[in-house]
Amino acid sequence: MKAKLIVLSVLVLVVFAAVRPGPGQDDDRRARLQALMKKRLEQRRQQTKKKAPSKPKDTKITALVGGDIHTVTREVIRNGTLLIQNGKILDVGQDLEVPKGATILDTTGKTITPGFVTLDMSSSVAFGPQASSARTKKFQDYLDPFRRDIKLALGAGITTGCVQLTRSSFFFFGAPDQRFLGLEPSEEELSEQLSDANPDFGRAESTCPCCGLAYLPAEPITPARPRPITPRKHAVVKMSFGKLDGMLVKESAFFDIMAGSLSGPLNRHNWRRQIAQARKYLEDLAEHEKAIKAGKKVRPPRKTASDDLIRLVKHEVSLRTAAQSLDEIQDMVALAEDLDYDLVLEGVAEAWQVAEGLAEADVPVVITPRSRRRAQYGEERTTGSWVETPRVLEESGVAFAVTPLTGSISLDGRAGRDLTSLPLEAAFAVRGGASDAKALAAITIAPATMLGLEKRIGSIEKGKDADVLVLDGPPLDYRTYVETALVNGRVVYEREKDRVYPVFER
Amino acid sequence: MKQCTYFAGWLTALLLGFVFGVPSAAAQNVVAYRGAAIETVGKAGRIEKGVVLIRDGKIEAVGETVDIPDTARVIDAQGDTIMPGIVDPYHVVPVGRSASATTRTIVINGITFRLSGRTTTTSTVFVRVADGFDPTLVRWGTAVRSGITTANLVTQGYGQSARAAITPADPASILTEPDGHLFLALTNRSSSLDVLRNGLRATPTRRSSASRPTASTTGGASRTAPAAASRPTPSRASSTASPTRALWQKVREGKQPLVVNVNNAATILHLVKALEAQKAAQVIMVSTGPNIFQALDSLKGSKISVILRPQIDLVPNSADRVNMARLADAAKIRFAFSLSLSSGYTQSQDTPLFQLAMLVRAGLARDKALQALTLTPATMLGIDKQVGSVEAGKAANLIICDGDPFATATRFRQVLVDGRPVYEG
Repeated sequence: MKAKLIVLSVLVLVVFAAVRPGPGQDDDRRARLQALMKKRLEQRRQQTKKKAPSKPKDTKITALVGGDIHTVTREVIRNGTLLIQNGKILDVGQDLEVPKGATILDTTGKTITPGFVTLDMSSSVAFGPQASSARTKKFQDYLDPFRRDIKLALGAGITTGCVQLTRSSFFFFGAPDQRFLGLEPSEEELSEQLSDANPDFGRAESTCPCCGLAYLPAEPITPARPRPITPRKHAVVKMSFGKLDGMLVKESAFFDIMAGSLSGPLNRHNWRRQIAQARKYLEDLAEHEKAIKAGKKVRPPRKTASDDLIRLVKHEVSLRTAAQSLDEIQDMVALAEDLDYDLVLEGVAEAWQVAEGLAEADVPVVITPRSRRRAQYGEERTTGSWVETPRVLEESGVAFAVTPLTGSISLDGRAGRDLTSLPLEAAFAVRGGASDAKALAAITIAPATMLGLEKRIGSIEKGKDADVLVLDGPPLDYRTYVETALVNGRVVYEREKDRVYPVFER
Repeated sequence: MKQCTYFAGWLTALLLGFVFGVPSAAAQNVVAYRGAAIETVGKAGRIEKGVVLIRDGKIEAVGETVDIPDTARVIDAQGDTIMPGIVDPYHVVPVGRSASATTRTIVINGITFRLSGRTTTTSTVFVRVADGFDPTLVRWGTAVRSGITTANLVTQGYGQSARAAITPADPASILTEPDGHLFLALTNRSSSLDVLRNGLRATPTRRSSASRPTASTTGGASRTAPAAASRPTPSRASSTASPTRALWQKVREGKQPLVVNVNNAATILHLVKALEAQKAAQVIMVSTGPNIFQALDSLKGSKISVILRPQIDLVPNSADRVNMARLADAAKIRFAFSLSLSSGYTQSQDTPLFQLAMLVRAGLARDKALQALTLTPATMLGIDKQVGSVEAGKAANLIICDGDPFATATRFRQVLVDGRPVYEG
């Protein structure tokens, strides 16, 4: 009894001591309360966050039954079945059981391929007339899923496009110093070209009439203050007609710079310094985190590199640029190896000469099989484009994507140059010796991989996005039309209904 | 100008006094329309032959048999149809500030330059209609002729609407409610969408959240309350910020609907997306038929009501025609018509409901068409207790037509606002 009383009184004393507000305890208590309030707030925020995406899940299954399924990454499945649920591919194979209640699309005798992916899409396709305003950070505000251009793209089989927001891309059909077509160079000009030992410093084009000294118009004697090299903005957009959800797939897919941005000693020096700065910043950041973990109070390092550059250095995106001539290609590859970043080269007219090197350096390329580059005078055997480039690339094991001549889309003007003929452009790769499978990959999985989206799009595999085409013939045949296109498991294009392209039966 | 208005007001008051003079006041105050078919648009539905009794500008009784007092002036309306006056939920009027924002004229060295200003359709400048609105500058002829008796006055851009009873003879009493609804023209641009998103966000100001981080524990409502209380302060900064904040708060709490004019189908999706997190907010959307047609799937589940132009629309990129009102009805989307938005509005001379008759012929239910002109817009605007149907206790805003309202040859005989005739056909 007595012992119990003692224990009780001690307890009361302890509790009293804990509750009584001491001089320093008040602040402490307030701090604790604040911390608790913060925690509660965070909890509430998380709860609301969890509640927000509680959309009723669409458990309906769509089944494409019959037809040859070109999976691209695996074999072609003859007379296969494709099951789609929640916008994803549930299963694909032969003799699959179709669950009860599934919406069945009979695709017997048709060809099924993944939706095509293009790396050059005009911004007006997804943004309309406001494309020029969409350069701001919130360009998703400008998306317009009701553009007729989207139907046109879907009719051509394109379900995903990489949109350049700052400027439409174009190809360089010749080096800056290439001659005008049809003009024979004089002896003098030839010798001058040959004696042009160091092109980086410009060329003595003429002499001053009064003092006879040479002046260099190509590059100023006093170098301009170098500006940091900034990439062009990109967005990867799905052609999900009529739905904003799932339309924007990715922002900043590349570190895309103009051809020639890295040429010349000044640019080169500047670029090296930029990369070094980005690396330094990442190192500092890692050290800072370590110090924080160790319990030290240190300031975070000053950010000296742009987000784009950091992504490039971290190998999250590739540097994308045009390089046509052998020199340019080798230069870019060497620089990328030296500074250790991933590279995607566009154009690559003379790639057939360095295919082995490209394969070794693991550099994928973007080609337009129908674009031509004239050989240099006197060096016809070793310069200029070659029709068999796709074959050479395939044999050497270089991954290549195909894009058409322009990124626009319309039914006006000359047919066959824009996105409406993307599969035809790939067919020209077959004409240049590439296999059908490789040419199909060049408009599906190859560009998807370059965009870093190979786990979501570009092939027909379990768990990937259900971006699927139903074609009425072989995918790269000029007679083939897209019958039905699905994006995120939803039918977004039907040839009969949409009446964008001819609707006759063959 | 103001003096002139006053003078006009005096003059009309004098005239009215002269015409409906004191001797006949008792008889004038009570009027009975007898023998007409009545489209009540209320619970009673259509009455084939009945009486509408009006006392002091209000409907006292409606029915097949109504005791008509001896003092009443009885008007024989055999063969006519009486329907409620039309409520226009989106009546665009020019407002001083927005009108001057479009173009500016400057003179340099005797040469006149006209500078085209920013378009007001996506302007984010707040305009209060009641402040800049001059009833004598608006041509009310078409509205009166079309049977519009109540209108929600808006202007282009962004602002607060005002409500009006269309009584052109008495311009001073046209404005009946200066504090109307928040309206906003929306397009798929960041600057435009930000106005909507910031308004729907409970904690819009950056400064207050930075200086008082703990204040967020009490939620946004209490923080915006003092702003609402400090509304009458005359200082410029608060007069532009706090009234809008108070209005937006009402929208967030669902006390007042937001009227949004949307210029393309894509923006409808952006609007639906912006409203996803909102539980209480009610939105009335104005757009063209083709836009709504394209985004119909997204609108189906949402709480957005729509204001349609009463006309047959074209399906985008096709030659097919579509009766958008019928589709909206089938999709269970609440819809109202704005007569002033129809393409033939200013030209409609004597058959203002012709387009509606077309829609009814093309499959729109007749009672739905009538409702969408009268009671539905009144309910949307929260004034369904005062106007919108021919029922006892409501204002005597009536249209007396010489036949079925949706017959193509029908004309309006008379339009009454608060029991007073404003139009005689």
